[in-house]
Amino acid sequence: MASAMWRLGGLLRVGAVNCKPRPQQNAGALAMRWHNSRVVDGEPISFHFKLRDGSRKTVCVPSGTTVLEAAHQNQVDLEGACEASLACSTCHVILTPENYDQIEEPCEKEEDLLDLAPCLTPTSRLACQVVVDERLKDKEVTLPAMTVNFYVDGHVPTPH
Amino acid sequence: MWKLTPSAARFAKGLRQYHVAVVGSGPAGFYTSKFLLKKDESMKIDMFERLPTPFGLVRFGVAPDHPEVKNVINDFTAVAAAPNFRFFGNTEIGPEVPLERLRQIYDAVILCSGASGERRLGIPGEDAFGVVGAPAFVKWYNSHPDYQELQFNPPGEAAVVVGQGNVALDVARLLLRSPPDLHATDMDSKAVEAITGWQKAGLRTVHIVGRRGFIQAAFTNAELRELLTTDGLLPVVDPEELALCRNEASEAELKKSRMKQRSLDILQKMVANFSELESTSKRILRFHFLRSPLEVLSTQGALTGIRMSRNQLSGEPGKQQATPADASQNLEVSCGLLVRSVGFDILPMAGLPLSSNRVPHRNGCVESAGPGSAGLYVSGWLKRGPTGIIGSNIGDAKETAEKVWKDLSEQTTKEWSEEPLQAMLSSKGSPVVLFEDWQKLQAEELRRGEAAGKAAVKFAQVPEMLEFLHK
Ligand SMILES: Cc1cc2nc3c(=O)[nH]c(=O)nc-3n(C[C@H](O)[C@H](O)[C@H](O)COP(=O)(O)OP(=O)(O)OC[C@H]3O[C@@H](n4cnc5c(N)ncnc54)[C@H](O)[C@@H]3O)c2cc1C
Ligand code: FES
Repeated sequence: MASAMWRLGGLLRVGAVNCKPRPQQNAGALAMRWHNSRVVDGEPISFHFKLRDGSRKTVCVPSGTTVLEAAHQNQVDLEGACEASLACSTCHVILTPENYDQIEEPCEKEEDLLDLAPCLTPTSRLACQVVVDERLKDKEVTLPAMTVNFYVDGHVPTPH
Repeated sequence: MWKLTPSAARFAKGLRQYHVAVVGSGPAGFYTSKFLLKKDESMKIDMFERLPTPFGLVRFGVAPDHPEVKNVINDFTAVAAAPNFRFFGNTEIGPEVPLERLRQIYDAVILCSGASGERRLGIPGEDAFGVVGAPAFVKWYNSHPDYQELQFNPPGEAAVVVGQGNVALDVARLLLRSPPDLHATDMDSKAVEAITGWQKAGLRTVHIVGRRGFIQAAFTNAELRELLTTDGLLPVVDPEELALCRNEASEAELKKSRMKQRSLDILQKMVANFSELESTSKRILRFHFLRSPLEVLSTQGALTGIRMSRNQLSGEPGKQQATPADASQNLEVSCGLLVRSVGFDILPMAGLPLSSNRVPHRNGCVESAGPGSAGLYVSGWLKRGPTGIIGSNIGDAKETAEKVWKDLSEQTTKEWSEEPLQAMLSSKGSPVVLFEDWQKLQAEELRRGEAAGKAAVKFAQVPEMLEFLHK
């Protein structure tokens, strides 16, 4: 299990966990939004999103759903620009340290993309790569504070 | 409990709808529209785009071998499907459709027109034939109608890319990708043919040159790592040069950055490739750190090579400057193509204030509404300057949308009439292209792509697009 502390300074090693883009619709079917197109029918699991304004939203989705799909199915304000193909970092969320340590480690590509996420924390993950199961039951997933005042002082926290 | 949404509440009070103009259809334009419609779905949004095709640099910048990045087009297409959203393509805000007029007609005008000017190196010989800016070069291979007339000679054995960001990596990687890989993408067929021809005629090495060390460079790890697994490609770093990058102040920077420690791991794999430099049969991508171009060399106006200084870093960690060191360590590299990838610039627009190449604004607001003139706002590259990935435009667009919404709710709306807009659009020289027209073009691009074994065959000429739509 990855320790959350690994992310802060020092040498960082990441295990090569099998890592591939999540299944998705073909690009042609524009009308049908991609996240509704996958059938998942596991046990219902309920967990909470801590929203950017500090409030909490409890959602209930079948086990096997990704956290990003869970957000979109419940109108939680989280982008997924590359549609879960592990090519952006817009689906950045923050897990509890306990959850972060429990679940499978992020793969190298996910770590590379997390580099670019604003407000990165030691327990940050990409929501399209985290699958909901009983370990997430009643736990909280936090949306990073991307407040409207973020850029006011002219500071731009992005590379490229 | 049932609650009136802000828009329903406005209707209930007998107030009019807001009408907002968005200029530019890249990520900034679409994200800002998306967040405004989330605030108030009854708001009317009209998007103006100078080209018949939407999506800005997602279509004309993002590398053709990164199709996943372009999936965001589906999200933007969903925004365009909102009942109160209209797209007016082939409609440039400029002399025919002036910004000033938009400000008279609408309640708010949001400029999201990006930064399509290009920076130069400012060194002797830069105008030689064979030197091209990355902004033009990427738009050439991505079928942008403005750049289809570019001409090149075959570069011979080597090309040079000057720059230390992901755009430079895109260009270098694409110059070296195998012909079947290139063909399968939506890269313009003319460019695929040209690059394939250059490789057949001997193009084997791309030098990627930058003035700073790897710790100060803007390359990101996903893009660096990709080079290690690209078929037929050998990325190479000189061990001595990597060591030079690690002066005391740089080590202090490295220690603080998890991202740079991970870059170092990747570059060390490229150092391991150094011994294969002479023996490899692969195409070579050779990094040069701490080198600045001094002079472009040419014969009879045609590029033959480049002379570069050896730099050293000095200053506090986080504030180091690269300055030329000992001239005896200058290096000359021959090349027949030089792509300078040293940044974009904001282009001036009548009615838009600019100060040292930046648009002064507060939370996205450039000028508040005055009598008869709508507030002027900015978002995206035009607002922040030309840096950042697609996702960087999200927080930015949210801030602008928030500000526009707040200002609108404190002012009275104008009396809306469709007439002045229609009059302006119908008097301009060429026809307006609507979103549904674009979707016809898109379907045709995919159809042609399927027939050709490519992801898409993009339209590259405006007259051809208009003709296709007309028939
Ligand atoms: C070569 C390259 C590769 C990139 N690759 C990636 C990548 O892989 N991943 C990633 O996340 N980001 C990438 N980016 C960054 C990303 O493209 C930008 O962050 C983003 O496009 C900026 O959005 P924007 O809307 O501000 O500007 P743009 O995308 O440039 O959109 C501006 C739009 O305004 C239009 N316009 C300009 N002037 C007018 C006018 N007068 N009237 C009407 N319309 C006008 C333009 O035609 C254009 O459509 C890349 C950028 C470049 C240059
Ligand atoms: S949606 Fe792009 S990485 Fe998760």
